[in-house]
Amino acid sequence: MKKVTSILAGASLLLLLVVNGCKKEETAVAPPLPGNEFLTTVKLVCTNAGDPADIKTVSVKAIDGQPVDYSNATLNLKKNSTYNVGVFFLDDTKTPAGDVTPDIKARQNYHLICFVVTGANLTVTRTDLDTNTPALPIGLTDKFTTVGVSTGSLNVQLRHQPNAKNGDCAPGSTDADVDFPINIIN
Amino acid sequence: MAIGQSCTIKLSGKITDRYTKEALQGSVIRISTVNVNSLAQKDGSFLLSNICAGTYSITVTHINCDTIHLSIDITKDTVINFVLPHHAKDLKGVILNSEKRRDINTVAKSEMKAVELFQQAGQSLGETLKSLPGLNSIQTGPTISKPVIHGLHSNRLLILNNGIRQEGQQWGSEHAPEIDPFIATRISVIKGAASVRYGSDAIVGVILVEPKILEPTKKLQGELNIVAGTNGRAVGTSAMLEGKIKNNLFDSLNWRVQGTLKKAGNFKTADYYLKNTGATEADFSATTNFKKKNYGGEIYYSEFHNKVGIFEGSHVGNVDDLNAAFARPKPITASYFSYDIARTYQNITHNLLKVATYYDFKNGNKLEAVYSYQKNLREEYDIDLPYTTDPDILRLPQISFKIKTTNLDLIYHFKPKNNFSGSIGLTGATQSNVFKGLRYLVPNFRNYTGGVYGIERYAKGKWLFEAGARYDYRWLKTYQRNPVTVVKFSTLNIFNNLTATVGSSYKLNDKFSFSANIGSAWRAPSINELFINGIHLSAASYEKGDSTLVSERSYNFSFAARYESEKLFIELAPYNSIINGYIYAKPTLQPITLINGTFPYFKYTQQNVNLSGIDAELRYKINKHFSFDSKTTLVRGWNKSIKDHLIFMPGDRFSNSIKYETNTGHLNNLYVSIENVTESTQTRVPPNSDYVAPPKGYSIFNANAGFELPVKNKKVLVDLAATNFTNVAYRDYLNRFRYYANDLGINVVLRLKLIF
Repeated sequence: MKKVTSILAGASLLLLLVVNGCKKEETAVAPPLPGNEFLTTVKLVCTNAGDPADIKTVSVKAIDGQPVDYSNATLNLKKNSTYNVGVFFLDDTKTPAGDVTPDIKARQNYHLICFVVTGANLTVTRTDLDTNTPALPIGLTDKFTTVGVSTGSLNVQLRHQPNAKNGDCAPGSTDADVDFPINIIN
Repeated sequence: MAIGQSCTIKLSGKITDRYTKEALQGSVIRISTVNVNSLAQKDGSFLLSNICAGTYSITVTHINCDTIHLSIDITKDTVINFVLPHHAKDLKGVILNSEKRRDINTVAKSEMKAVELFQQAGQSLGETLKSLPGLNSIQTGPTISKPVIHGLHSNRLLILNNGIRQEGQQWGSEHAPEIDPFIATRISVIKGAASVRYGSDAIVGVILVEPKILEPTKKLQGELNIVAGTNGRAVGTSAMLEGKIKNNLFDSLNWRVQGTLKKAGNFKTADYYLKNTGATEADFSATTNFKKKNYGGEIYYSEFHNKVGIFEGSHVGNVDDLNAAFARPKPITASYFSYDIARTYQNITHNLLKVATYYDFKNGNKLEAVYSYQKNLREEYDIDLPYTTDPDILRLPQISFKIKTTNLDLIYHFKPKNNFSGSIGLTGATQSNVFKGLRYLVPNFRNYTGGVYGIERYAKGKWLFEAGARYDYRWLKTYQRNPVTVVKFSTLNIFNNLTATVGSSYKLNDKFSFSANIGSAWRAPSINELFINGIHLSAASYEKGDSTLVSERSYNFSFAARYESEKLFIELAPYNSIINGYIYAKPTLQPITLINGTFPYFKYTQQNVNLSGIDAELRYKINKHFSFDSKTTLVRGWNKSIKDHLIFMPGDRFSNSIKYETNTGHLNNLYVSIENVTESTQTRVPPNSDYVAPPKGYSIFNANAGFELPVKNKKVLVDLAATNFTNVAYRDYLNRFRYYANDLGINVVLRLKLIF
């Protein structure tokens, strides 16, 4: 009988452990981390070198769960001109939008922005350098040079190249990949 | 062995059943090291004569009992009596393990014992089991490997670690089982639906990782393992100490402690290194058990920690990256050897506590109670750091999962009577899962499960029949936030299922036997299948779950024919499994475009599929020294709903080996073996369901040589192995990193084991 009692005591102890195991930790769903930012938007700010009043700002926005927003993506540039361009990466899940660009600048030795022009008479030259040895371009600031009237598109990619940046676009992985329609006009 | 001594020693004794005390006529006692055996007479007695003095490993087997293995020193005529634990009955000291193995007797089964496990020591569980017919492994690079039974894996097979269902994030194909294979002296694989005994998820089978029964013969004894391999400069060591404590409180009181340390650096393919593929592991376990006349108990605690680097070349941002990676003949960034593990890596901790007791009633029945608690923490650190300059956030893992599982099993065994034996069981568990991540992947959840089952067995003469039935209930509540409004909400899913099994085996004579089983199993949809919504980075795909999915059910028909004689062993095990409501991620026609590019879009859906195949093995002893072993694994998967092949089924696998064995001078069991493993190209794949075609088939050679060295009353086992020794460059269809790089090149491994 003593043994049966001790087994019962053991079983109730186990039951207690089972019940105690249920601290409702899972009901407290962690909210999104406050300091973290998402890359939702790629923005180009193009300033005509010959006419500082001629500023074109275009962006492609994609928030998780919503279709990509191209409503302000078409870039109209004047022919035979040079534009100083800044590339910006924003977090539009917040109001006001968060700016991811400084974080990319801070890790400039791991990032490269790549441009591919299709159809349009446009050349893109990167004008900034990182602190790798030798220093390699980043692409956050660029020079766009237009020639004749034409239309096409500009693909902008943010390449993430930790421990692998060599000036080429190939290494690493893609953090952003968007297309801007381009019109080179009179 | 016979060094200056005449070989005239006699070993005699009697073999009886521990429970019924009956003499066990027909038991076989065998000195495995010298291949001498004797059959027990009607009174259970046996006699082995003309033995030389020495240390021998002896096995005693009887058809209805668990095999006993032991090592003894023989210097003079010795009388030794063996008491075998009978069928589903009491095991002296402890418990459960061997009985669990026998809970369903008529399903096809394979197992690896201590010797085979030693020859794979240092490898992960998935790689260790690959040599069994019917098994493959799904890999994510050299260090992450999951076992595959009959083409399926992850949450479709169940792993029991020391009798406890392993509970982690087993749904992920890159989430390897958190188990140290060094704890096992036997790993059994049940190949067939086995939910009746083991509960949900046993769709294709169950893997039982079984530690040695804690029943030390000495006050202090143990084992030391050392493994060193050239590829990855991998080193590992595992030590175990155990002993019995003299005391007045219990009839027996034993203890064991065990620990393992492993470290590996960058692995190498046939001609280049794989960057960031190192791993470290540190495991620990402790056990104690006690026994009184009619009750006993066991407490087991184990910890598993590992950190696994993920091959850098596998990091992709979108499908263009993946296609570019695949088009390259080798990874773009050259690598070299290093032990450093950088982001991307996984950090995993698994803790397990088990408390088991049993009580023998006067009427011969027995009650077992097993309580277990598991905590599994998985943290994934990605190379893609979040966009922030806050150092606290940069240090965090991108994704973490913490799952805690509490389980209580009650099993009641009836005393065998009139050829009938049986058991009934009651099981209950609760689980909580907490997900943290920079992006949403899966929700938190709580689940409660309960099950009740009964299994009855009838054994008479050459026949054995068994049947079982079970009912399970699962309550799953998930908690998450609306991604836009950030408001919390919860959903409730309830699953309940009936499962059953019937089977029979027939022993035609002492050489031929047959078994057949019809079993069923079920599986509730896993959390990712129900609720995932996001990019699966390592697969460069966008996946969306479906919260309306219902339970998956399998019906398995398995048959095994076995012929076993002194010289020849043949086993043929064909099977067919019908899986209704098979859940998989089906590619949709529209890709999804996000800021970082285009992703193929997969939605989880349910269809009816069929799996069939054959596992076959043939072993032939050509003469005293040479033997031949051939294993074949064939799997065919068919999606009946879309009338096409099932994706990611292993190619046909054939392994053939020749072994030379001898005993010379001081060395026991000296052996040299050479093995060829050939896997054919998988051509049975559905169109447009994978980024690239399956890789070409391959054929690789492995070699092993080793011996046993008795030193006083200790024993040293030595094994030198070379895998892929012709350094063939190949890619395996089931290795997810085949998109990016070749599989491993040559690896020479030295294994040492000291038993004292």
